Amino acid sequence: MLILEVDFMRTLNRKAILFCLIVFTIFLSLNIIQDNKLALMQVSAQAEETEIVEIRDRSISVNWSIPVIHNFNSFRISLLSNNSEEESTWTMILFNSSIETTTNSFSLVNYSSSGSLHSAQKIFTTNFTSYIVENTAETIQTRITGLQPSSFYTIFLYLSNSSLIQEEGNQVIYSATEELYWNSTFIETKLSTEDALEYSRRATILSLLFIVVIFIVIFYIVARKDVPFNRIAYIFIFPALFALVLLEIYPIIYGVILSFTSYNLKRGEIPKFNWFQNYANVAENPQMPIAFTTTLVWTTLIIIAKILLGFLIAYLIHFKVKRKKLWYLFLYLPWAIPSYIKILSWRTFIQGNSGDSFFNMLFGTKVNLVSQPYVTLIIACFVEVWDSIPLITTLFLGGMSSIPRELNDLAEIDQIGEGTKIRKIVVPLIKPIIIPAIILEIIKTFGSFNVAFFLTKGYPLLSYGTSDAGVIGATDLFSTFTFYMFYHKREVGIAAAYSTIMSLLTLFFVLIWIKMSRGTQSTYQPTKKKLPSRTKNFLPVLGLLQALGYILAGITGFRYFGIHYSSTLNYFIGSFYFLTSIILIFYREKIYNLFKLLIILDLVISVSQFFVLQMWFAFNWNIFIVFFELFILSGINKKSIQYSRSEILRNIRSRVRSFKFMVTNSLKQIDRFLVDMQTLHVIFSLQTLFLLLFNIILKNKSWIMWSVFTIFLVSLSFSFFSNRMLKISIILQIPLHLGLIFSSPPIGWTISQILFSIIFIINYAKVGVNQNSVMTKNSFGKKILRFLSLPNNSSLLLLFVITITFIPIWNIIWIAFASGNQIVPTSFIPKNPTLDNFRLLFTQEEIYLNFGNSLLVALGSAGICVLITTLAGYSFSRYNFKAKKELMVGVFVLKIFTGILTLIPFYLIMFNLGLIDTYFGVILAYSTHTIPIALWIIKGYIDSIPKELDEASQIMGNPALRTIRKIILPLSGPALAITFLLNFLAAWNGFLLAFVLLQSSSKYTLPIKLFTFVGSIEASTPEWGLFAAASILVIIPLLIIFIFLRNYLLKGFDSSIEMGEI
Amino acid sequence: MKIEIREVTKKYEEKKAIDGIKMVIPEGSFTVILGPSGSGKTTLLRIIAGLLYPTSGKVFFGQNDMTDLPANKRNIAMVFQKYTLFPHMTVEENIRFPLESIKEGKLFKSRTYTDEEISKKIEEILKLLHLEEHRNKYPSQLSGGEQQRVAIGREIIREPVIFLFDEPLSNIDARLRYEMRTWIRRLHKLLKKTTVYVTHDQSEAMALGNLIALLNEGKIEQFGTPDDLYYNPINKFTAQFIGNYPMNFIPFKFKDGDLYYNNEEKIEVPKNILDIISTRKVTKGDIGFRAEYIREYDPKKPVDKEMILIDCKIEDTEKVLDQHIITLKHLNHQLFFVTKTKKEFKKKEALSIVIHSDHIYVFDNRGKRIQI
Repeated sequence: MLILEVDFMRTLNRKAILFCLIVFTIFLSLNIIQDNKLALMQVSAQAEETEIVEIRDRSISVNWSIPVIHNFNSFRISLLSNNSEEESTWTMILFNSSIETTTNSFSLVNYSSSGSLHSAQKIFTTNFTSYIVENTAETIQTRITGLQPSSFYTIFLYLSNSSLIQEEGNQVIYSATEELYWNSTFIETKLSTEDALEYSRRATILSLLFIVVIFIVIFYIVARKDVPFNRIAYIFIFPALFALVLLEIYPIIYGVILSFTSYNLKRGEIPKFNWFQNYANVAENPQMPIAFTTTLVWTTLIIIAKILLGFLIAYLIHFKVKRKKLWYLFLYLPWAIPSYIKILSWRTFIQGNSGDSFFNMLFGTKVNLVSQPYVTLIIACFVEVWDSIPLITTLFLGGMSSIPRELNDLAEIDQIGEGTKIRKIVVPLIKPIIIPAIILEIIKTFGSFNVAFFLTKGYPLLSYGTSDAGVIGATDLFSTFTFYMFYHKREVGIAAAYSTIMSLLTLFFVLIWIKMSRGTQSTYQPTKKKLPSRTKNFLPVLGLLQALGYILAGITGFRYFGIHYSSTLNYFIGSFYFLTSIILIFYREKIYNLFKLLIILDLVISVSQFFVLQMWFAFNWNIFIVFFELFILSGINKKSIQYSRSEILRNIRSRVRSFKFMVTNSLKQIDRFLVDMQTLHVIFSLQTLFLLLFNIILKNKSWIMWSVFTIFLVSLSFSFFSNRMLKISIILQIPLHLGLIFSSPPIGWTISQILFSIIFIINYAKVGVNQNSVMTKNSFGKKILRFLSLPNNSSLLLLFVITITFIPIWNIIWIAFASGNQIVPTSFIPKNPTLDNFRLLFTQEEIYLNFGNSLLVALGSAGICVLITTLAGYSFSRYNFKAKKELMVGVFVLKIFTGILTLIPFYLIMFNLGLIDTYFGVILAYSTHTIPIALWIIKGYIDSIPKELDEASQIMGNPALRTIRKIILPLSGPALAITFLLNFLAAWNGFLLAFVLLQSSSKYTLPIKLFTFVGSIEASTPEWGLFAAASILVIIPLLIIFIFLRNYLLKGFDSSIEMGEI
Repeated sequence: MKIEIREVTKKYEEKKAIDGIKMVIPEGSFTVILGPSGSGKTTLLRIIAGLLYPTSGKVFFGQNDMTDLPANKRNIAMVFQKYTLFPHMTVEENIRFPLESIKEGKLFKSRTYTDEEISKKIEEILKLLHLEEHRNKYPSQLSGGEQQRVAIGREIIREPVIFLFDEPLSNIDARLRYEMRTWIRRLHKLLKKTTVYVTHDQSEAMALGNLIALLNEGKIEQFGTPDDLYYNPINKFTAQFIGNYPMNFIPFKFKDGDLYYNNEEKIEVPKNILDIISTRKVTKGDIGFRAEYIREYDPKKPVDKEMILIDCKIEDTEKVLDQHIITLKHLNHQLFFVTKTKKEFKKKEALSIVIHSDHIYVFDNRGKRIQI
């Protein structure tokens, strides 16, 4: 046995070397072992029926059929091991007509022959182990076990005539004649699971070493080629780049290679290179289009909402309200709250314990995130949008602050209307800054994970989303689906294929981003020479693509490309697209309008089926191509197609315009105050709409509210023609509230209706003040009106946004102090407030351990990050080495590929390096997370320190490192603080990587601990009380840091913002 | 120590900031690099300092090739235009810092100066610079002149071999600048170290330097003493750049032994000038003369043979204290004329001027001076 073991190791070593050679020279591959080829069989001529069924690590299964002519009653299997050079195992099969069950030494085993199960008896004889089976079988399958993994064996099959003889109380097999029936070639058993792990461990370490060596060599060569003064710069950027190569680039390569291997962690297989098998698997999986569609819908909805809302809030804050700083503070406060706490608190608010929630209590609805697909998707989108409002608003605010204040004043003086101002001044000026930022937002939303994981976990499940891989839900995004494949199914290869596909899509956006952000600067500069746009050449290509899609959909019925109503429609639209695109190639300008009409028709049909068929998959990917085409069409210079428009059209257009003028003028003459009353109209319409919503959602059967609604509707339609009607409509507020009293709806509706009424009255009063009407003749009335008109609508709107943000937070605070596991607030302050939850946290849950863990991880990671980025930032700021710009952009682009995209390779690398479930692994994981942004901030800040200072220090004879220590570090405190804090927060709040990497509960960081309290949405007993209390404990230190270090941190930001070009 | 610059070129993305400069700065000299903005003078200084690496060429200090040595190994001193002091250190700490930086030993370095030595030196320097009462102030509490004085003191204390000044006085107000100028000159006399001083202000250059290198578009136009540059400009650029007022130029054509203006009108010039122009076979060029050497034509006195008479029209007059700066128009070109007479000049009046031939410079059409 000992000898065997040693030999086994020798084989392994030889193979490892061979393997590494292959790895190095061809693929840089990691887990690819091509052992299939060794299993080629040579079946001897006399029996083609013999085959080797399965080769495993410790067993081989052989199948053979019993020869027709048999004057033999048994088979003898002889196994020759290559290592020991002797026949090591013997097995004998005896045919017998009956099975003797009386003897005690016989034990029954199962063996299968051609599908049916037979029982055999195992007999221990002195020379062989024998099986006595019925000879009715036609084929025999035998599994030879007890083999050594990764060894060579030869199987011999003899036909023999043998008998079982009793000899001195022992069973002995006596074989008379023997003939070789079949022999195999060398068979190599597979690696055992442990050895496979050993293999991948070695492969990981070796490939890691290889990449490191390659990187160092390239780096060294580049550094040697540069001028001597710059060499120190390379030393300084080395740590940062090295960390990025190890922790970002290497996982990306690893992930791509993994996607070509079949590797399931659960089954403990050896990773095997299987070309595009995983991608085929992805393509065949019917869930993939569902997840893809959901992701597309999700991204579109969210981006549109984010842009609109972000713009609105930024516009209100920047142009409309006073006390900007206060609004800023309220806007940014939620930023200090970790995303996972925010999302989970939304879950408390909306879902609660399976539908028993504050939200449902407030509005009398029956929202349940586990069972209503459409509602859930919209709520998830809402939460995602609300989660990212601070960020997107900041982006817009940054853009708007670059608009010269004078332009706004000028617009005001010239009495340019609000809409015109936005369209002609604000949007064009912020466009060059905002568009790259928005593309980054798209990328982020596309790969977003948090909301879909914490809020819904993919629920509600879709009935048609079932496959072998499990069931997919209405909010299962690409990212969560990938995570599911990896984390629950442990299908590493397939999950890697998913993330590779996602990375490619992301790369596409990144390329657009790079193209868009090239040449944009912080100030608006008109491009001098506008080259004729080539984007319109894409139009026919896109058109043809759509034609192809539709026709394919018609033929194959693949629903995601086409129309679901009927396949004829598909053919029709497809051919129409084809023709139009062909014409578009030759006669470009004349057909644009036709093309536009076509895609709008397409859009209408495609969107309609989404609603009409009420099915997820009825969504049609064409819509996105259509959006793209519309985008291109909108970019085409109008002048270039001007001449194509016929005279008649132009005539009609101008006539329509003059008619419009006439109508508005006459309307103005009828009612001089029409303009002033616009806001009132809007509010009144909103109120009416809200009433309608109220009636529909509550499925109101009582006539009271319906009649109130009818009165409102009638009054609204009249008031569009005359302001007098609108003035009178203030009386309508009385029946509204009477109606509310009588029908007594859930409290949320009542409050909102009252708020609406108040806003209406305020605005009414404001119009009154402006018009100096009859009501304001006495001075007391005037004062009241003036007081009422103080808050303007902009601040009310902002207040509304902020209130919505704070409602779930208040809910969390309420739960934390309430006794028991109560989650639905019944009063503003909980009755009998207790600190039970907090006490439980410290006694039963020992949360201080998790605080310690989080602190350790966050401090470690932030320390590493600041250390390496300071050196790199100095080098980027002060030296002009080769490929500096490219490196800066490259570092930024790398950041985009973190998160779910590199999760799988990262996990495996950490696994193979033995860093799973260690603090060090998590620290490493988070240390590179904020490197790009930190680099930009530090570089920007050092740029603002005069270059002369460190040059003076250098001339005094100080080496660069001493200069940094003595001059740069003391002067760049705020930037260091902010980079430290950013990374600290990333690690403190980071969930995904820590969740995957940490396994023992004593090492959990806070986010995971908090998550374990509530679990995912289907969890039966979420401990909301503990979660709420812990959330407060997590938030408070962050809030304190944010509030007290606000100005210091802002200083760090401010000087880095003027970073100028890349 | 002698500084030698051999064929130094510095390119910034195909644009040459310095274009093959050859130059030897003698030991102990006060050399001023003068030039208009963008001429590459600061770039040249930074290459000498070792803050920039030249695209090609070499820099020698004495006999040693310093090209590959970074600034911190060259043992030089440099005073910058602005931001010269470390804002987070007091005056005393600022002066102390370079002394603490001087270290000896290869692997395990130790400070050259002990704390007592450093304190003693600081006292000396503070006394020399009259900065004793400012020792505990931060740079932001000092005036511009004081800041530069501290900066210079900080460099002196290290006893470097070469002093480099990068427009040290341009951020200081005019009154103080004059004072600082004399102070720097005295300092140079005291220390006798090779000094390279960059400025765009020619009066500063004239006052300070015993050698001036005039730079234009990355090339040296003329390298010589201040008097050389003023009285003996070797090209049109130097002639134009040096002097309180740009030199006046009148383009001419040489045909058949006579000089003509552009409109074929003959110019009466002394014969010796004509002879030289004809021997040099110059067909086109400029006649140049300084505004200070123009005199008003007095009809009572006859025109000397050595004089050139030009009839002009007054276009504009400007009175600065006791001086009249008169813009004259002759044919198509403007001429400047400076005089101290008390006479009043009126616009659009005719005025004739005379210039003595000793003060006339003749340049060929490539801007090179023809020595008379």
